[in-house]
Amino acid sequence: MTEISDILTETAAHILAEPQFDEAGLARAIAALAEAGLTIPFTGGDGEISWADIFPMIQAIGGLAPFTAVADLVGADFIASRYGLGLSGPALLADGRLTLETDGTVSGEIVVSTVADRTLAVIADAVTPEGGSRVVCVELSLEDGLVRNSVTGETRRSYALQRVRPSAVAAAGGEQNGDGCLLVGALLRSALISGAVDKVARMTLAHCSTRKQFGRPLAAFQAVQHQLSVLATESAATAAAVALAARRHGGASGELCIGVAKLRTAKAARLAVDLAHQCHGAIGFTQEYPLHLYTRRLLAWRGEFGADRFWAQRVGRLVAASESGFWRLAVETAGERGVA
Amino acid sequence: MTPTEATSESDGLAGLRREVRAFLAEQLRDLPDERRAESWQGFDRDFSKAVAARGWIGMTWPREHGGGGRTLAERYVVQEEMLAVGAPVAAHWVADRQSGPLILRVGRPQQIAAHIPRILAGEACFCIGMSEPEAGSDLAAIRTKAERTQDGWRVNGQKLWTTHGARADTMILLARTRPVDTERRHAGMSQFLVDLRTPGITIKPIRDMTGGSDFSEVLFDDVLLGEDALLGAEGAGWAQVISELALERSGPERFLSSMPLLTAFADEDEPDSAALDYLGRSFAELLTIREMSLDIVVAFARGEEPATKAAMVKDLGADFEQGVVADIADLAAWDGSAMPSERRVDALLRGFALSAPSFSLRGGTREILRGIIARELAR
Repeated sequence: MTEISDILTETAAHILAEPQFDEAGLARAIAALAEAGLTIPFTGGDGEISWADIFPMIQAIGGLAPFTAVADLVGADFIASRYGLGLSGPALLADGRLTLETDGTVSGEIVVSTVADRTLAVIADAVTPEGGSRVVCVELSLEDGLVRNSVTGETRRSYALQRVRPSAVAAAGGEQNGDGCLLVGALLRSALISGAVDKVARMTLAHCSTRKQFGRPLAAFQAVQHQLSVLATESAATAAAVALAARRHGGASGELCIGVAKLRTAKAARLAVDLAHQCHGAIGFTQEYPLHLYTRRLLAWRGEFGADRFWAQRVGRLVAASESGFWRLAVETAGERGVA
Repeated sequence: MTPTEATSESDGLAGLRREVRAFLAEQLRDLPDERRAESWQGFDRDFSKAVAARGWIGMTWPREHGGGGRTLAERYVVQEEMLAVGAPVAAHWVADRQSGPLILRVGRPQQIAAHIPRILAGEACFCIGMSEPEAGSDLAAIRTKAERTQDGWRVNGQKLWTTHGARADTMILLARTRPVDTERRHAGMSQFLVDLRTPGITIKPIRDMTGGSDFSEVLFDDVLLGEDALLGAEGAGWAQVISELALERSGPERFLSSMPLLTAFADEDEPDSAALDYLGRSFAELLTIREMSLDIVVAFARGEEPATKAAMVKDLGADFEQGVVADIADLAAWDGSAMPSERRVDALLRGFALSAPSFSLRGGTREILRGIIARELAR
């Protein structure tokens, strides 16, 4: 971990230490993050801050039951910076793909995580009639969004846009196939999941180490030990998958690596939710006990920016279409890793 | 590490990988799928000698002992490319992975001189004499005894499930050299280098459910060993075994066993939607486990012994390589038979379906691995 990532991680942890559930709380968090420079990590610099720096912070945030929008602010900032999309203030990353019409307007459906302001800027993927990749910024009004109650306890808003004029449009580069926001969003969700899986694994270990039944801590029972072991292993697997995607993002194998990360973290999230609740017993099923803050987020995050089946098909198609064949493609995708 | 160094190391690895692939394509051109399904239990001394001739046995061992002096990452490239195509590596695998490193670490100069050159030449096949009838996962329960004689040791007892016991030249035997101390069960064990042609040794191959006889029962009846048979310190057997197990558990053979089947399945034409799903998910699982495994290589290179992380890789890895077999059997609607058919997966499935149960047993059962991880968590 680099020094920059340490600072970012500590600052984010400090700001987000208390779960804040109302939209005013989110507004405070956004303001504090902006003040700390955390929503503009990619702009105005000379490329010194990279995904490798950012990821430990996103993972740490994932373990803090955050407003999901916090990660989407970082993602939108990255997209704006990478593609030179002019922004006048903070924006959020949208899940969904728009169509960019010849008259310069966009149409389609997108989903955005909750925000506090009356209006919000969102960045979304868009495709031109010729299949060209763009990222667009649209200014939306809160009232126009359809409120979707997310299982996280937050709200998402969905927008069915019809011929809305974007405030900014940028070419998103041919290599990403119109999915700049999708890839970055999937990468961010993977990192959030990794942090939350680690958190529930730790909570479960702590609970099983202190809670006694039959005169012994639960962690003294072999059946429970094996669940704890699986949880820890899943947590390690998410960290490895996210590290791979962070390392390879932006290169030729970026899309595959992000697909790998999203698929593997989604698998871990499912297992972690099951095992953490099983090991916690009834206490973990209550509102009062904080386990649900994380498990509910895990349930949502694994489905956002491409659910399990979506990515399985997408990665599967890339594998099937590859000239290299399964094994060689795997090696090429990860790249050679030395130990020097 | 500067970026330039990193680049040159990566370039070196890519070049080595091309060399290994070309070598394997040439050597294994006519290897039938039934043999590839034996995976890294496939035994072929000529192949092992050819590997040795390329300098790919003992790659990381010090040059002063004839080793290659190369990096762990280079060795990893060679290993995983061999595994990916189901190369018959068994005759040298154990010696290269753990016996050679153990001898180099704790052996006396005469022992190094006697064994290392033969291993490097691909001529010495080693087996691991750990398990016994009453000591499977509970290794400290071994009863095989080595008693001091005037000029060496007398061994009595029985080893069981000794992989390649009937083909190997040398066993590294774990035996009690002192009676069991119930307070310290792991004390009083020692390791010995045993020439399997020594009088008093009887080796009985055991037919396994695949139809093969890879493992054996090895009986010791008043077997006399010289003073020079003791490997390492008397009584240090347990610590030596634990460090061997870290090597035994962490390698790519713990998740790549069924790769020949997966690649054959992936190469089939026109995958349907379920097959695409499966290719996506298995690709994600493979890359994730491989990253974790490579993290361990990096840790070893730093001089760490990441036993817990190795247990995690082996646990996930065994699930993966077993899952590949069961999932592809379902996806390919395999009916359990392997008539000569146009489908490569049938012949491969015939072999892998029968060997798959062993994947989560050998080298430490799933239950033992999860216990190791849980113990570390409790610290």
